[in-house]
Amino acid sequence: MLYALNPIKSNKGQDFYAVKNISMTVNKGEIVGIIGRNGSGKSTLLKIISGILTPTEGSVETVGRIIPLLELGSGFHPQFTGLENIYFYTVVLGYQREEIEKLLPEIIEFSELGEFINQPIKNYSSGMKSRLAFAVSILIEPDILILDEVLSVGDESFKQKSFEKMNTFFETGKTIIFVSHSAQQVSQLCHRAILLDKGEVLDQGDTASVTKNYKKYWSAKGEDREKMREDLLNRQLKMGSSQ
Amino acid sequence: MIQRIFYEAQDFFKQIYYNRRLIFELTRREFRTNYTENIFGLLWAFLEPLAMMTILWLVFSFLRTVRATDGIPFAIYLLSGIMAYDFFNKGINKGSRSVKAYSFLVKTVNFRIATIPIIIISAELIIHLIVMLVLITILIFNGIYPSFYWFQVFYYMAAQYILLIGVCWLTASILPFFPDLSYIITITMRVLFFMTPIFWQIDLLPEKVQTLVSFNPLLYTVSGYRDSFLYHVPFWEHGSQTLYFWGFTLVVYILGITIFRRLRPHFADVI
Repeated sequence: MLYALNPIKSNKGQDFYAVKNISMTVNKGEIVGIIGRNGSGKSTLLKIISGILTPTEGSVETVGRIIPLLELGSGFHPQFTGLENIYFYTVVLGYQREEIEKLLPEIIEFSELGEFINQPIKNYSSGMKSRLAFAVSILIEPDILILDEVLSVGDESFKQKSFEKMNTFFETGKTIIFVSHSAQQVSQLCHRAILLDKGEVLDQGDTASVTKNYKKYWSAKGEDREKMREDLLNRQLKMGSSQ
Repeated sequence: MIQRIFYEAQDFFKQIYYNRRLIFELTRREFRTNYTENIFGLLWAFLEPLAMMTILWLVFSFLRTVRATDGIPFAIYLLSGIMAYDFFNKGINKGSRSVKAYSFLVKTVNFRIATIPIIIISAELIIHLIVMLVLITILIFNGIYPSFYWFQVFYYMAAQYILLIGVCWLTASILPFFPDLSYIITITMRVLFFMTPIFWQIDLLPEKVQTLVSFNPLLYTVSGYRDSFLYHVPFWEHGSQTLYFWGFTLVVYILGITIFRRLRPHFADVI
């Protein structure tokens, strides 16, 4: 269970909560989708789960190795080559050199970078960086993989390959937390989904119903939407207190 | 309260120890970036202090006031002092900015950030060791031959290294919140350069000023390098200075670790 409250003080001295009153559990072997518009707090939530950000209140408990894939390619050292970065990034994540050596050929092949693997990252296009980051992250077999809207880059064939890989990954009993604003991607991949808006959980549960609510919520206008938000929040509160 | 500090420090060091493999690997990589970027690479590591020494030597050759260095040629006296100081200077400048420089890691990976200053300073240490090799060659060339006392340099080197890490934990954690610190450090080090007996001898100063200067921990290390290479004086002959230095270092560590731990949860928000 995690309960997080994360304020960032704005200039006017008002409290801004990027994420508020979140309580969720993810079990091993699940693929959970977190869905919401921009600014709903998805990325902040992921950073808190992976331990990058510290919540102002509350705690996070995780079991196993977590690989967060946020802002693709930003964990890379710009001066190092692609190959050096594979080593660098994995060492930083806590892997031993020997483990990586074994996986190296597969990673290079999956990324489809070929000779460019020996070029410094600063010369890569964003697509190349994404492919490398994804290749590394999925092939080093973390226990928990956290993906932040990472499948929006890359061409069709790479996306296809990635989805397949993610499916096999999941079949080995790993856990994936997948964030997107695309209801379609979430329904394709996830068992469970969580709907986030303005930092709060509006709905969680079976993917089909959550994505339906997501669409309904955003197609409603003004007052209707406000009303829907209140209803959803109340329902969450009730569910929370009955647990 | 002391118990609490002790417990925190213990936990802190345990974490560092646990990450020693990581530190080793990343130091290697960091060291390589230091010379792969430039064409002349590592050469600059000793060209810089060498140039400084040459200028100072030329200037003071004309001044004739700071000659008496107990039989050691002034240039050698200068060079050993400068190279000792340079390690600390580079270390504190790079180390303080290290967390900021690795912001891309801080923001995207759950990483033991306290290892970053250690990595940067360790890479500087490797460069320093190479610089020492050059210094030794120059010493031998000038008729100053190896003695057992030369091993004492490692003690002073370790002292600088240890002090550096403590200081950098303090400065590197504050810098993201207070970038002006960067300038304060540069200026302080510049002032310290003149307040450390690098191109002058401490006995040239009046007694009262000598006491003031002795508060500078770098006095201990810089004259220590000279004591080892040139004058063959063991460190235990400077009893009070030794105590002061390590006491100073201890205080720095207490401050550094405490502040680092307090600020660490907020790095990703401001960096």
